[in-house]
Amino acid sequence: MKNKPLNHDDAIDKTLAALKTAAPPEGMDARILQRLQQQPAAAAPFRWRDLLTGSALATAWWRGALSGAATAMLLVGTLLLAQHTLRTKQPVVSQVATARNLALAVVPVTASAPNSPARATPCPTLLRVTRAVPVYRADTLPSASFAPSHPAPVLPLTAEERALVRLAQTADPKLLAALEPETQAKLAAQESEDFNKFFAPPPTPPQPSDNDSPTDTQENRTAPQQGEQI
Amino acid sequence: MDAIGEQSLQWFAAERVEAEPDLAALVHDYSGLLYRVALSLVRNPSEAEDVVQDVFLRVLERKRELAAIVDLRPWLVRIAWNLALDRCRRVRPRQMDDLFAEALVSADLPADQALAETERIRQVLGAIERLPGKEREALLLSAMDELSSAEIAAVLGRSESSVRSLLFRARAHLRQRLDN
Repeated sequence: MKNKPLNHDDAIDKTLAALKTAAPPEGMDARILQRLQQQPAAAAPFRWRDLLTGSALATAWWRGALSGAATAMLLVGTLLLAQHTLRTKQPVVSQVATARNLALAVVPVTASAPNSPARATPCPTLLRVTRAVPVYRADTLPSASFAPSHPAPVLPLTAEERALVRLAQTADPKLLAALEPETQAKLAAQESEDFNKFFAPPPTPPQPSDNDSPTDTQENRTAPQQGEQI
Repeated sequence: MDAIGEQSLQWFAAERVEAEPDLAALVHDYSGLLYRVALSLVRNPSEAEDVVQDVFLRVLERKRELAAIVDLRPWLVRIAWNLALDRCRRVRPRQMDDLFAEALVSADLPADQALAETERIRQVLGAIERLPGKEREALLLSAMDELSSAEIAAVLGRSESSVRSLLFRARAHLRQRLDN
């Protein structure tokens, strides 16, 4: 019985030694190498991890991927820019003119008299309402609404304006000139002077002498009566 | 300047050699070990040769990774071991134990001794087969002279002390089973 464990250990060692010394079959290396040479190199499975390595294929792949990504980004940027431009060129609905944001455009107009080139004094300046111009607040409108625009068309004249124009074209220049304040002031002064001269108190008559006839006295008395009648 | 150029050439040459190892040299150096590792599990020479061939096919597929592998021997043994385990699941090793035991017995022995020896080896192989997995692996790998305990530990993914413990328990269990 004492030899039994030894025998088991001996059997275990012999078995393990047999495994240890097992020789490969002859020509195994050659067969394996032949099989490896027949294996195509392209048979390696595709792995994404290989794309990250520095081989030539990976470099080409990365180059293509980067250029594709750059092209895609350029296209997307161009599309976004085009959309933004189209959106800003569309008319703004909120630009409807309301009574609140309308203002009257007042344009100074100088009345001209075509038949009076030698006029010394300028014609009176008139204010003409041309049209109603919408006035927008700068902070409520997009910047595109401040784009340069064409001048507004001239609106038709009002009745008063037409009357003034007709007067300037047809009336006597002397009469028109009399409308000037200075001329009117001169005329008023002249008229006042004439009036005062006409209604001025008569000069004191000299003391009648004894030689004066009674008929002269009668004439001097009747003269004011004639002026009153006039 | 020439020295720098030579160094660069040597570096590139070394990198090229590292990146593309010589498969023929690998086969020559490791085929015997891998064959024995596989044979200890599959117990069939032709199956073991197929396992070795599969190992080098895997190496060919992962040719680029070879440069990053620090120690090739445990890595190759681990591949061979896993491939042999897969093959063992398909082929029942007990059917091959008799032939394998006969092959292990020396041909110089007389017929009666050879028969007794074959029977004893067959019993031991059967007992090894019934060992717990890790103990069986440690015991079979320890039979390979080329593998140190550190390399066995690397293959099994355990520490060296754990491998020694596994070996002790494997022998104890094996004795118990052979007694029974």
